[in-house]
Amino acid sequence: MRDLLKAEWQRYRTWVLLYALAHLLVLAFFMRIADLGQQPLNVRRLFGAGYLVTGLLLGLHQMGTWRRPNQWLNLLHRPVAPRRIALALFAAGGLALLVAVVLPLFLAVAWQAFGSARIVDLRHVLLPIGAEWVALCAYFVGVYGMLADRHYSASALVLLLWIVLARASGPAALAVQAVATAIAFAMAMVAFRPDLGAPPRSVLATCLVAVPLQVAVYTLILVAGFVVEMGWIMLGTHPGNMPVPPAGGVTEIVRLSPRDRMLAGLKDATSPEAPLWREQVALSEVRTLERAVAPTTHRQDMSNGSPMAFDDSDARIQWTFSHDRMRYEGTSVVTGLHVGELGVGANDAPFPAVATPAPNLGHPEKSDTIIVAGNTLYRYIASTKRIVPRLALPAGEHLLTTSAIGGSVAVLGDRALYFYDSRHLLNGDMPAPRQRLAIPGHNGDLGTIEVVELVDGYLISFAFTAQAHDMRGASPFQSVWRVDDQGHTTLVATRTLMADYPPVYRYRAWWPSPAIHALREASVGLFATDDPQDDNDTPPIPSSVRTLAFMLMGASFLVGLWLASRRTMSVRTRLAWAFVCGIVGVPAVACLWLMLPAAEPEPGPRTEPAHA
Amino acid sequence: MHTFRPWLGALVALAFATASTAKDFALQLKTEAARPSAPHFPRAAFLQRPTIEEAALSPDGEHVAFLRRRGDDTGLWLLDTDRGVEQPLLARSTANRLAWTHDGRWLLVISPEKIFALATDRTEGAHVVTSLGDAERREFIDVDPSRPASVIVRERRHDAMGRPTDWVLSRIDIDGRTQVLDIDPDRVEGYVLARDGHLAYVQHLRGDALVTTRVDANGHRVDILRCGVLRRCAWWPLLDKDGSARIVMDSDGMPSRLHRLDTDGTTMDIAGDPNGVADIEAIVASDDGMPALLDYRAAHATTQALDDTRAVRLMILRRALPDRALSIDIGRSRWLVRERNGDLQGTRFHLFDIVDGSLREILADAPQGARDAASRQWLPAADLARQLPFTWTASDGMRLHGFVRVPPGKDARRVPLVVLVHGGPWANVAAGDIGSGLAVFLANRGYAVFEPNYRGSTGFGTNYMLAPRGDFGNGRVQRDIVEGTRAVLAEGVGDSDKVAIAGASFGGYSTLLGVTWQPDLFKLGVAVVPPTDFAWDIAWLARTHEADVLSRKLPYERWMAALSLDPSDDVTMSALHAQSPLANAARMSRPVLIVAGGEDQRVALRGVLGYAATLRLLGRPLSLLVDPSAGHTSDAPLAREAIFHAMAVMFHRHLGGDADDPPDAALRDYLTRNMRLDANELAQEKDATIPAQ
Repeated sequence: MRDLLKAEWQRYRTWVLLYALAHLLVLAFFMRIADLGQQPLNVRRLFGAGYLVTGLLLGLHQMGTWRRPNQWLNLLHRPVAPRRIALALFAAGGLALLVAVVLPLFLAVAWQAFGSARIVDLRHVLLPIGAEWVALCAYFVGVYGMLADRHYSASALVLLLWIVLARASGPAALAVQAVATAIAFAMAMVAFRPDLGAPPRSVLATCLVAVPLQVAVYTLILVAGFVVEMGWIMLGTHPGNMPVPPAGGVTEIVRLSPRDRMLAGLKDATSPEAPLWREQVALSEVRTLERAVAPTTHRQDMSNGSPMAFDDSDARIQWTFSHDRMRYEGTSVVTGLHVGELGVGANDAPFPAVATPAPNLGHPEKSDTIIVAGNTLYRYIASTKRIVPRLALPAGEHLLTTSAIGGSVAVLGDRALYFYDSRHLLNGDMPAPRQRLAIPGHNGDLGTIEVVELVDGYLISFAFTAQAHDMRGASPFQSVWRVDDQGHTTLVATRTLMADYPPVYRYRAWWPSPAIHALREASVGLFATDDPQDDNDTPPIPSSVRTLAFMLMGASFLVGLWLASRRTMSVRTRLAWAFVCGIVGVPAVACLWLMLPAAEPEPGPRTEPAHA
Repeated sequence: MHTFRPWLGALVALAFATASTAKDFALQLKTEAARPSAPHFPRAAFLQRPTIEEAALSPDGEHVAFLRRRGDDTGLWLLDTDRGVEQPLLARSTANRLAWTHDGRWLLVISPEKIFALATDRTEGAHVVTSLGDAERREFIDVDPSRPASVIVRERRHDAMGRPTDWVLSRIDIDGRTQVLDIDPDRVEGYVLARDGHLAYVQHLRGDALVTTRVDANGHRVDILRCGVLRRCAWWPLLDKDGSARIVMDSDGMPSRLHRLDTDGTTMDIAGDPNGVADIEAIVASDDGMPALLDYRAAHATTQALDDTRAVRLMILRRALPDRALSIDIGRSRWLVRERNGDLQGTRFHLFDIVDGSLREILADAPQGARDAASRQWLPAADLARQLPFTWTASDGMRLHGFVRVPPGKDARRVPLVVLVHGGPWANVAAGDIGSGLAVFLANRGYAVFEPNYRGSTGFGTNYMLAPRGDFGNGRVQRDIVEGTRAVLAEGVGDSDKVAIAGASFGGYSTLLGVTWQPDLFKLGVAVVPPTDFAWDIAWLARTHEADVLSRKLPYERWMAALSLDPSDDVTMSALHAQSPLANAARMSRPVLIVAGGEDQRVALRGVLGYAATLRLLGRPLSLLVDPSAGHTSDAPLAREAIFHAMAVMFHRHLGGDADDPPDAALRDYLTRNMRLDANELAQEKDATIPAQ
């Protein structure tokens, strides 16, 4: 086994070392022009995609060379068990990835840590491990793709899709990647057998092949739905692309200008002041509040969901947030040297949550910066190099954005909208809000917030349309509120909006297979922490959609039973497959059809030709 | 009988003064009517910008440093007054002030960011003396009069948490060495330096009072003088050779006068406005650093010399430049004389040789266009309307001041009258000042213009300023404006059926009050950045960062309370609200143009828009121009020209004055973009005259 590993390593050694060198040069180049430790998610995704393709190609190539009939016989005709041969080859592949992918990354992190003043946290040290998991998982997917039955060997790609879509972050994301890699490894082991292409025999092996295959079929159904949607768009009747969207619907309200959206919300208002408000809205600048701070930036997240650094242009210092220290670390822009640490207050206490710079609130001193961490807004005072808290929302609430409006500052949390007097916000200590308006719906459904100043308060429109095209979102509606200077809140009007899309479209992810949809939701959310932006007021599934799903499940049961009856298997197995088809639906039927070829027809009684 | 005699005397004097003033005014009207009619000048000619922005004479009188604008760049130049040769020193500068050190060896170029020093003899180079602004808001106060080459700066220090702690007054030598003169939790308002440079007196704002402390040679401090915060109580920064100090003070709220404070604590009145009407506007230092000339700008623009020698020189100057407002820098060999006047665009600069009494004009650059750098010509003063002082007696007996302009060569009784109300309200229309040029522009379009310095205005003593006692609604101050307008009409200025009212900020508020409560008098109004409810705006300001900007001297609430506008005084605020244009929008039916700024931090745009929405709902003839990028004031040439044009079109349509020049493409585009309501069709190229209502 060791010899095989060594031989396999030597087969790839030159290419691996060349790849590692090229990888190192690329990293070195990018490290010269940017701090790779502080890059946003899309940069991480770009690098991750590179490692993924690397692993995938390695797996495909390695097994592609061995899979040829002569090579395969030659490989397996050794005095070593096939499982140990597989382990030797996989170890060689893993070693190659370790050298090509992980080693340059570790060297880069080491240079950041010991050769520069850049911040290196635990999350940066974990990056090479994440890269290894991604590459290794893709490697096993490539192995499986080459060794498994050609009819379904591509199904392992859903594991890579899982890694991409998983909501877990930081060390939890590594756990998801490890689980996916473990499954891919198990699938590769199942596929590595002398009789390539033969269906798995044990229940566990069958599950390892069948479940990803069913998920892959489910994914293909979604892709087919997307293709149908493209056709719908080309026909010009898709609500999202119609020149004139359906009246009173979500698309219409989303396309309106902020002013017209506010006016639409006021259309049915019956308050005696409503005519005056309509006039004032028509004359005023209608402000839209948009989330500026990602509420789900967690400690040791691999990528920066929000900017982690800000500049003090007077002192020529860049302050970068350290997840390890939960404080800012300063680097001189002039010398590149570390110039100190910055926490909260005079004692430089650690921040209670990951901090990120936020939009300025008007009238800041030069070089002062507004910072948000969790529920608290801070101000960096450049003259004293101190960060001091300026306002705090109630415990547990996330501060999402701030916006200077007239003489006030609007602060959006994930539970309420607040207005503070600007005078004391920057100079005083933790003032109370003048007004608070609870968000009249679930945060995840919230599409847009518009604010108009009135003489004695504000008009605020909430459009809950964010997920109206999807089964998760609340039934769309618009709600307009008035907040007066004394803090009283009054509902002005509520307007129910049309969803625009038929239920069969909005529930397209559910009715093809409720079971796999549940599996998808569970796997995508595995190890992930709650995100306030995913808090939806999901309505119950309409009975028409349920009926459609049940009909599909029933039909799948019958087709599954029929297909199973045409396969060579025990009655118990047939019933099990039919039951799975009934529970899972169409994907299971397709899985049964792909995994288990129909039995050869029984030869009929041979009629000997009559001898003459 | 003894007590009656002074009253009788005062009444006789008042009657005589009133009669003589009225007679003077009538005479001036006749003079104006006898002048040749002025041609119609293009609108842009009233908006052109001076090329020379700032000038400062060296102590020896041998050089004049000045800032010259070329297009969008401003450069620093030096004039050799002997040879008349100009040479550039800096191609570009952001400076807004120039000063010379006491020894004349360094020219200080002061910008919002720094004080930059240039050696006059070019041997010691140039360098930054200190930065300004920053978090400490360090500000240049003045050149140190007691040292050869130092400046005095004030700054505010903060603790580690960013809270302000104390005020620091420092001396910074030309080489950057700093000497702290005073540290105090209260803001330093004034100081007096002894001839050896040590701090002799320092004045702080403690509570609602300006407290002056004497500092002896050992550093012992004794409070010696306490003034109300709104009183005039300003120290001259240098002790006289005999150890006496100078202070400008008002007595019982009367116009301020210059006093001498001797070392034994006795004070002596030195000088003040001979007419007893105006505050001292500015003091000019002699070459020994002590006051030499006093400027007055409230009712009449005059300069008064404090010694006979300079009085003679001043007389020569007055002979050469009669009826002009003069602002003078005194040098050892020459004086730099800035000539301004109510009918004079820009500033003319002259050098006055104190030896031979000759006067020659310098820095006579042509002005630039408002919207381009093209060279233009100043409009001839002979064709512009003059600023005629006008006084009237309010219904409660208070004597009030203002200015009237009438179109030259026209019968003042037949022209429409525009009342231009100044903003503030704690500001004034100054004598000898052309201001924004709006008044002369309107006069050129055929309107008589009345600019009242209603009670509350500055420059006439503290009593005058505090006389409104918070009655800024449809009350005492508005009555001053209305009574002044009627007095002007009674003097034969303006057609009483064609009277408009206009103004910016408080002037805009007064405009809206006028068209709401006095529609019989004011047939239309143009309100620029107007608060529509003064009480609401005062309360709103208290919630904004702008209150801190206004609180640089005294916390906003205390400042407003001192002006009888305490935001927590429900009686005053309720009365203001009840009389506000916003609360009485239904009464308003006159055509109105409102101009507002989207970035106005002083007057809430939402108050303006709420008022506009109400008027629109009521179907009132309202035009609303909102420039999204403009603040409370706008220096943008296009925005200023738009106000001039829209105002002229509005008055032309409703009062029948001369039509304004049609807008060019840029102005038309600006108006189209920003005119949110246009019931008066101001943004459209219509020339039809709508008869006055």
